Amino acid sequence: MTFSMPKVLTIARREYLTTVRRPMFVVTLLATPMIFLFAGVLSTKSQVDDAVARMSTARVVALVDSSGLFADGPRSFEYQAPRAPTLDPREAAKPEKPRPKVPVVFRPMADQVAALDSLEAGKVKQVLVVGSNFLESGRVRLYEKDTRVFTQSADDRPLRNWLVRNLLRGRADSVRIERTLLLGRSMDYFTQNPDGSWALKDDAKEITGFLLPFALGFLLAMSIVIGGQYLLQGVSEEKESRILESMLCSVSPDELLAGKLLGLGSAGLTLVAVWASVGIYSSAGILALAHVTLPPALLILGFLYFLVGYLFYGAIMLSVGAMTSNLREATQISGYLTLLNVCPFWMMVKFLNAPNSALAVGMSLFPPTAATSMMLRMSASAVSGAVIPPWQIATSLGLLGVSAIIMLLIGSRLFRLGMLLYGKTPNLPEILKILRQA
Amino acid sequence: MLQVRDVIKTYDGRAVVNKVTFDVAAGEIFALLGPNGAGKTTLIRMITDIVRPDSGTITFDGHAVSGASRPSTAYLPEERGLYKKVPVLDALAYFGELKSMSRADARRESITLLEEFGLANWSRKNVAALSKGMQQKLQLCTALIGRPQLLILDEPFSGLDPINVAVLENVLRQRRAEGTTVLLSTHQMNKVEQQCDRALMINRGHMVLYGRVGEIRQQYAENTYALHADGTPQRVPGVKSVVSENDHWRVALEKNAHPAAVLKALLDQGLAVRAFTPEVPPLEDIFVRVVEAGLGLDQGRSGPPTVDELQDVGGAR
Repeated sequence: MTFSMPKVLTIARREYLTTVRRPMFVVTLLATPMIFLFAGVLSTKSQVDDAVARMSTARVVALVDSSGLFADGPRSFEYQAPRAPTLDPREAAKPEKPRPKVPVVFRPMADQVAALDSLEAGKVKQVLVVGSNFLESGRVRLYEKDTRVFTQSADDRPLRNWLVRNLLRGRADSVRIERTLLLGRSMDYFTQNPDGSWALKDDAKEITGFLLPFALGFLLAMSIVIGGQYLLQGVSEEKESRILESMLCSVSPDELLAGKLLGLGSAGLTLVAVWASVGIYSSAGILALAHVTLPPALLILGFLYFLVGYLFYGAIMLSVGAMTSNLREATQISGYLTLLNVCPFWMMVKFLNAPNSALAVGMSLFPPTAATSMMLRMSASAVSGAVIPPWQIATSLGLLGVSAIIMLLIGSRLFRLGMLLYGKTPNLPEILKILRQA
Repeated sequence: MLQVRDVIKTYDGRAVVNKVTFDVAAGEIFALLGPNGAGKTTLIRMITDIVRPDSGTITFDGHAVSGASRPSTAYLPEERGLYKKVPVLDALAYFGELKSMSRADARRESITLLEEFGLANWSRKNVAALSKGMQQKLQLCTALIGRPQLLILDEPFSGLDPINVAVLENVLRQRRAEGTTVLLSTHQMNKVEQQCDRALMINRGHMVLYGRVGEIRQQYAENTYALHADGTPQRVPGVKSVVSENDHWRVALEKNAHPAAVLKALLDQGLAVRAFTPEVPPLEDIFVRVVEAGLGLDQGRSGPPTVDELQDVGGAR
């Protein structure tokens, strides 16, 4: 049978329209970014609320000062946190909102045992122990009945503030004391770019350096996974409904395969295009602030990696769908294969810190992990300024492309015969036999 | 004309279709018969180019069915399904488009077919909303749309009520009159007798029966006559046995006896004979006899068995 492009387009159109009209597609399209947004807001809000609550509540602290260095310190004071830095200049220009003041009351205790008894009895909230050798060791101990997994640095800030002020009281003027308190926050950190220039590494750039590779890598991995899942679902459903044998009179297996790849890949790409547009639009401000521009080459290469990566995984999904007897079984098998595509995220920190490390290079050349790995490397480089050798990109794309062609040839053979195998999933020797017969 | 010549298909060293040869003419309804596992589906898949034969040729109007000039073919398999979550009209028109029809033509012919099969009022409903019988009719429509030159139907009457069976029979007659080549695979032998011009039966991959339906039945006739008469017939020369059956007598003649002579002898007895007609076995009986005989097993033969062979293995009455 000759290869008819109009038939391929007919199949692709039906697959695309059927998929994007499904309620689940619309739910996925809208729900996924909303879930991320909701989770982000919820998590941040809960942390902020917790911090605000802790910073607004008066705290009574049992003080055990064996060093005697703080004997003359005030027994009560009101701590006011410094103004939080903002990445947005418009935000910075706004009038300052009133910051809460945290009343702190110290109750001197003779020893640690008595202090801890008070803590157990609920009479104090914290116990601060300053040892007799504080000047040598520089260490203090803080006790609190706290069940949280993570503590925040802001929690002990009022106490650190009080310790510094009273340690320097009489030995430094108030300006020096204030500068000492803010020293950690006022240091400008410069790093050298690959071109030799020095650039300020600010919070915005640091956040972008993590978020941009994560977001672009995530989008690419998701688009490949989603496109592959649509293929798997479509093939499994058609196999279960036994509709294909009637169709194979009018279209060749290769036309059917090409139409499905095109239509369902487009559906996956539609999802990602919408998410990416929303993401880029909403993050445009922070990208501009961090002086990060997305090079067009990154987007073009991203699209190429999607295309070849999708063909590679799509062919695998088609084969799995054709060889298994139902969707449940197909989903179980495909789940393991999909892990290969997303496993570069497990080494993400390594990718971000050293995009040209042996691990990062190796994974971006290995076809199953190439697309996601290279996207992580490229987007990390877009922020840090590191250069990925073009031969690595060309080799990675080439290897992935050749692998995709091999997988498509295998997938086409398995699809041709596997679609007519009903009720039984063949084992590996049987699959090899099918490959030889096809 | 569909021509199948010496086609062999082997799986795991076993010939599931073994040197099968037959023709189906344009405008003919041809029955492909055989028990389950006989090789019918494999043979059909080779005709539809879903699988390729190991050897032999399959052509339609002189062109290989796997080539660029392959005929427009429609196949309704026994195990069949439909897209469930799409409107009936869209589901049917899609099959038309896959047969290279324009979208407008596909929709136009879909509407005509849906009207013909009484589904026009359901055209905007989802396929899932149709009853099982309605879905059967829609599946038939997916095969009929595009007016294929070669129509292959596997158990097309299954699941249809008598009214819709009549509708389908009428459609098949129309298509035959228009020159469509129809290959019908069914276990409903009465439908084969009513609808089909010729038949091929295969068993375990081998051809065991092939020819005009009437001739096949005649071939298996056993020189037995149904006698409708008032009174009780007496034994006459040339008669092997006389057995009473419901409202008539079943008269078995000896091998070389002449029916006219036997009838004359019966009349000479003074018997009031109302009818004396040769009994031809129904195709179903022949099917059972051939399959139970196990003929077509790998005996290196591709032709049909003789009547003597059938009788030798216990098929004779």
